[in-house]
Amino acid sequence: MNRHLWLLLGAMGCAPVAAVLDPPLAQLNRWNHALPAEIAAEPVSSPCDAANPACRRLHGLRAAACMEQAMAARAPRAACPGLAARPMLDCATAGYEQARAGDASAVLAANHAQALICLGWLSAPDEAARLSRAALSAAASAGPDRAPLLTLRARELGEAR
Amino acid sequence: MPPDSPRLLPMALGAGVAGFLAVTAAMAWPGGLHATQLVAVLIFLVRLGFAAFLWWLAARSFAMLSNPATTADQIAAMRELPMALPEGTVRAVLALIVGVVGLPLLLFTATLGLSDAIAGYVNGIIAGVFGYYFGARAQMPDAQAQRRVTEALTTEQRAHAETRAGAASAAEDAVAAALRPVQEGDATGRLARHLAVAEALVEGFGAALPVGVIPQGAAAMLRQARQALTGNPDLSAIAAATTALTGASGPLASLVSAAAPVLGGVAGGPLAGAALLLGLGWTLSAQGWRRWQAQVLDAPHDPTLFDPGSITPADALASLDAVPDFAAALAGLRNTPGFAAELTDMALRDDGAARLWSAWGAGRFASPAVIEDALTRFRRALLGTEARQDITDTAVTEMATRLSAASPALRPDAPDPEAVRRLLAPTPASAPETARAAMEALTLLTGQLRDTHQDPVELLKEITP
Repeated sequence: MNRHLWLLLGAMGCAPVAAVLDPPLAQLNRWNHALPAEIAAEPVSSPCDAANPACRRLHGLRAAACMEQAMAARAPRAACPGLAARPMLDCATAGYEQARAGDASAVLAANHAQALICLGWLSAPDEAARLSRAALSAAASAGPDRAPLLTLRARELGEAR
Repeated sequence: MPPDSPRLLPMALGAGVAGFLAVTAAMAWPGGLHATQLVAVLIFLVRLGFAAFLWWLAARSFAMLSNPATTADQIAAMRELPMALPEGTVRAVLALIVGVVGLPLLLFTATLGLSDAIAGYVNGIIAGVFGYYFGARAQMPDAQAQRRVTEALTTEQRAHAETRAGAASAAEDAVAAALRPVQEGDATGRLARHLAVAEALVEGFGAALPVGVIPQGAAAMLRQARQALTGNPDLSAIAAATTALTGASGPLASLVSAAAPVLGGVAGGPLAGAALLLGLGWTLSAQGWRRWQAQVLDAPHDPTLFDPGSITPADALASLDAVPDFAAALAGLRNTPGFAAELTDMALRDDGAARLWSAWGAGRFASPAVIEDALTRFRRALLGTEARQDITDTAVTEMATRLSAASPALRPDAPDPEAVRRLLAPTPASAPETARAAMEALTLLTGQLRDTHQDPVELLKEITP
């Protein structure tokens, strides 16, 4: 009986201890059970060393949460949201950029390209052209199922702006 | 004239032999006939026997030729034999003559007073003839056997040839018999296909179509086709009914011709454009077909016509050019950040007109009603942009290739995909009423063909508008 009590207490005390010793790990632990809106509203703990795998994971989770919020704001059948979703797209593009540093995931690349394209349509022409080029680069690393469409849409952005 | 009966032969031969024996006996008898006279009589008798033999041969020959049972093959075979006699007969007769004449000469050389030299010649002749005769007889079995083998082979080959000919004929009959139901089935199926289409046009859409779109004799064509398909199949009746339905005055050909005025611009002519549209409409995805119908029939806006996430700000900008007054009103905003995305967002929402009026209406549009009207046309243009994207260059090329087997008027000549996509625009209000109605009927017919999994290209290949 005493042994079980100690184990319970130890488990309860683990999170506060981890929050002190490794804040990114503690945040990752919380975000694993948080809603996308909660993740999008909370910035990644700072400082967060890029060499720390937990940090890359945190940036990826936040980027995905922001992207989800942005896409949820789209009109029915629209490919991209309107201006109201700009902060979420800013969050998503920044998060994907951090998450992709050292991670060659095709899914991350495809989502990054999508975020860049949508952000480009909400930006001024010069900024849109830069985002178009970045989207083309990210689309090149996307999987073969998504790369063609993303490339096409990145080009459309570049030509329209 | 040949003798009527071969009984003369034994009589002649009997007389010859009796004469020969009598002459021989008379010569042997002391004080008998003079030897020279006896030899002359002997030769005369032999000639008489020989003449009787030839007479008999001629009689047999005439009798055989006059016999109706004698075949041409038998006559031909007789020609290859010496004097139309069994092989060796002539040799035997010659040997017999030499023997019958020569042997007595040899026997009675002294009596006849012949010199030894003449006796030697006669002896040589007899020996030569007999030697040849018996020598030939000795080789004859091989020759006969070979001939018989050859004859047997020939007979066998003839029998095989006859068997093969019989089998081939039987096979041809069997194939013809087997193909008859297939041909009937093909013809029946073809007529049934065209009848189904004609029924849909005449009895389904006919009442709603302007006069002239459906030919006047269409009802009679339907009756003729139904009669041809009832009871025992009659290929000629089926062919006549099919020709009526698929001809230039058939319902489908008439409908395609009626829709032609709004389907120009495609290389190959308006009929080729109609054929392309029908064929492409049939190959579209379900969602693509819904867009097609909504586009051609000018249906009200329905957000579900678009695939999720498919409308991009680039599509909105492209569609804006199709609504010039709307584009002109919004021209000042075009270069502001987020304009295309915002336009897309507002156009695709149910309260889009109110949002537009609230965000950009002031000073640009006279009233919310004006915005509502412009937005309706803009949404239609968006639908057109999406519908055009459903028609790929590859699909156009493939359909043109398939239609190359249709009648010349329906063949698209290297069509420009962009020209084909332009045909998808709603029929202009200025178009003839007949053409508008025909185009709508063609669209409805394509939908029906899709439901029944019936390829319109196969139907188009069989009509001659």
